[in-house]
Amino acid sequence: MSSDQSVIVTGGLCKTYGAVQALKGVSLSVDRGEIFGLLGQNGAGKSTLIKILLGIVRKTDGEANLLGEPAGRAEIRKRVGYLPEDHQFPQYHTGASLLHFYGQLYGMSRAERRKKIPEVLETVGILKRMDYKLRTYSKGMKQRLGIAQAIFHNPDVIFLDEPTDGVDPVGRKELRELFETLRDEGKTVFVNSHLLGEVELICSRVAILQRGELARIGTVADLTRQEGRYVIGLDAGESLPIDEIVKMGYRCEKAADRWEVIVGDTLSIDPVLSLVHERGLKLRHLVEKKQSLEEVFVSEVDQADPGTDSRVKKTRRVG
Amino acid sequence: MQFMAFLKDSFREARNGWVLQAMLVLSTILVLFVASISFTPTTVQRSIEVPLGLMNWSFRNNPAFTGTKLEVDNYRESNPGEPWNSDYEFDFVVRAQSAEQLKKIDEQRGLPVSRARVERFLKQTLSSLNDLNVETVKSEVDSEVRFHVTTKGTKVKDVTAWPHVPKVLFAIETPFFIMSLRSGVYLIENYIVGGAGAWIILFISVIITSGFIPNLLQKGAVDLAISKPIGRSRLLIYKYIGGLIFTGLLTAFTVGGSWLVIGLRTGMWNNNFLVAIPLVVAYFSILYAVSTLTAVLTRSMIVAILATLMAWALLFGIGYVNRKIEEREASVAEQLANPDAGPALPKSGEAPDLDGMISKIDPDAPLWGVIPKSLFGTLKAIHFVSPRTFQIDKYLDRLIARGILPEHELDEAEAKKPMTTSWAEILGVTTAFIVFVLGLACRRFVTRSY
Repeated sequence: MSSDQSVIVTGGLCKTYGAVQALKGVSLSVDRGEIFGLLGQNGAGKSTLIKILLGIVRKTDGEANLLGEPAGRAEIRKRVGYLPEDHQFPQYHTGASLLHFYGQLYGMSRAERRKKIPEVLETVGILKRMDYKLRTYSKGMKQRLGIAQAIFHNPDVIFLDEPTDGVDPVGRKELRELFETLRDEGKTVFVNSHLLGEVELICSRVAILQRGELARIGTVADLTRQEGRYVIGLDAGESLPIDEIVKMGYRCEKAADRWEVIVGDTLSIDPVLSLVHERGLKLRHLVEKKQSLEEVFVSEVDQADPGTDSRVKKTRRVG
Repeated sequence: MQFMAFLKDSFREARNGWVLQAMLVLSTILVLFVASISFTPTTVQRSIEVPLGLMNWSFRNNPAFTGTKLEVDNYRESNPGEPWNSDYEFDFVVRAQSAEQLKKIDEQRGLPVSRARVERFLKQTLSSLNDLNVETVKSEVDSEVRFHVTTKGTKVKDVTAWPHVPKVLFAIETPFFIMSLRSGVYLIENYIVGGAGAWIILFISVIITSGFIPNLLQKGAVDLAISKPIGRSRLLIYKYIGGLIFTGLLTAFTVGGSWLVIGLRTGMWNNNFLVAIPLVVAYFSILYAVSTLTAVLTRSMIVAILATLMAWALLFGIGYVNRKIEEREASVAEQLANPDAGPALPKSGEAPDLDGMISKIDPDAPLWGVIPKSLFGTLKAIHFVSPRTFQIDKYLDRLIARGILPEHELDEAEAKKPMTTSWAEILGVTTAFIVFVLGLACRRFVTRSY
């Protein structure tokens, strides 16, 4: 499914740690200028996938290409930014000195660094702390600094592993806006996150990894759509003719003051709407029902977490 | 640019733990201590009176010899302005309370009472004087013996080889450590700075730098480092070189500072002493290669420190045992060449070479009675592939000695003996070892998933 626009392409990517298969033939592609979300339970292989693309973890089999080159090449990493999960910055640095250090590794001149560092720290909201030692930073500040170091050298692709971890709600909103700005600038943002609400808000496409395999991939709209389920609301006091609708071959359920009509994969909602019109009922609400990304995620993944013990579903005992 | 970035980063890391500052303070204290040492030319009279003072003190504390006194009388020198260009003349007097006590003293072995013993004592004490002649003078008192001593010229060409009294901490005179100015400087350079100082620098450097790579390889830190546009091998080598430069700077500060203050205080500028800087760094480069490999394998600072200290001791031991085996082989070869010569007895004041003596009686005897001769080949093979830390140490001693000591004192410092290992061998084997160990570390670092 790769195209000329693809900046990340994997094909049959496998990684084995001893007896554990972390990735089992993952194939996906991510295009330039998209915000791509990778979801999965703990131990599903999300971080391993990113690390293979960055050359931090060696693949066991398959293909992994980044910006048109085999993943792991040092030169390619000049065009890549990365925020690891649980990152550990050297505590002896200040925010500014850390960025100077990394900037030198990216080959940025002193003048360029001096110009860019205050800019990027202002963007992530920690400019005033730039000359403080990192040991004085809160978790949220470190996270913001992590994002700053991932973007300040103007990379084409940015990998962010749990980017809003430890950041307050206002900060999260600011970061979401930052990611959208980066996308608008044509950069590709690859996000690993457990915060499905955020992923839903910012990602154009999402993939769900389960036990090292790709369970679902698609746009957020595609994944959350529930085929053939509509919610109808009428004027107060009016009632939908359920019996007739059922006779037409639809399922219909009353839910509070609204009705849920299930049309299935083959039928259309149009005959129902015609019936409403014929009966002179006033249609006040019609929407194709969607699931939240969280519901999609939970329905996709097993209850057994690959990295934790099997979970037992709680059941309510009656009587 | 990347190299400079890592260098600065290593410096920040070392500075962060306060160990660097502590080390600089220690180095400064060492340099100041060296600066506090001064040397004052002594007189021949004082050179004799110091040991005589000790003997007189022991007489005072021994009831059998109470009242006995050894002293110098009628002291004259021909050129007081340049004592090394002077002839000397004085009386060496032994005074007792009675003739019986004098006889008793004469029965005590080693005391300078008879002419022969006085001559031997003075030749040892005034070894820099030429043509020392002792004649017995008839004394008018039967409880006194008197010897007239004359000398003609000295072995010393200038003031630097003339006996001096050292003073430490700017004020404390140490009259029992009379030595030539050159010997004094050699003692400071070789034992205080090049010996104890260098070992402390190496030890502290091992501790400080052993954290560099484990910290880099911490979870969360290694991901960041590897995700930057730098090859893993290069990253590791930069870290390694950073450690070496750190130690080099510390050594340069200590050795260079000591060299400067010694030169300013004594006028003796032993340039050979400055070779200690690259040699200490070369020594450290071996240890740090071991530390780097251990750190890559275990990611543990503690294990890296322990492994490095063990390697340090082991390499020193291998070098020492190999030297003893070589000496044994030389001794056996000498015996074969001259079968009638028995084991040489040690010279006066010299530690006896017991193994050398035993080997001439039984060439197959185990070394130190412990290491059988059958293991010699294996031990030499192990030494052949080991870096030459022991020889680096020995070369440094020798270079310092040759740069400062007068010809007649080089023998005492064993600096005249030819080295059994060439510079080419030391450099070649040591470099090969470092390349091999770092190669293993790089290979592991490059192939490992983090």
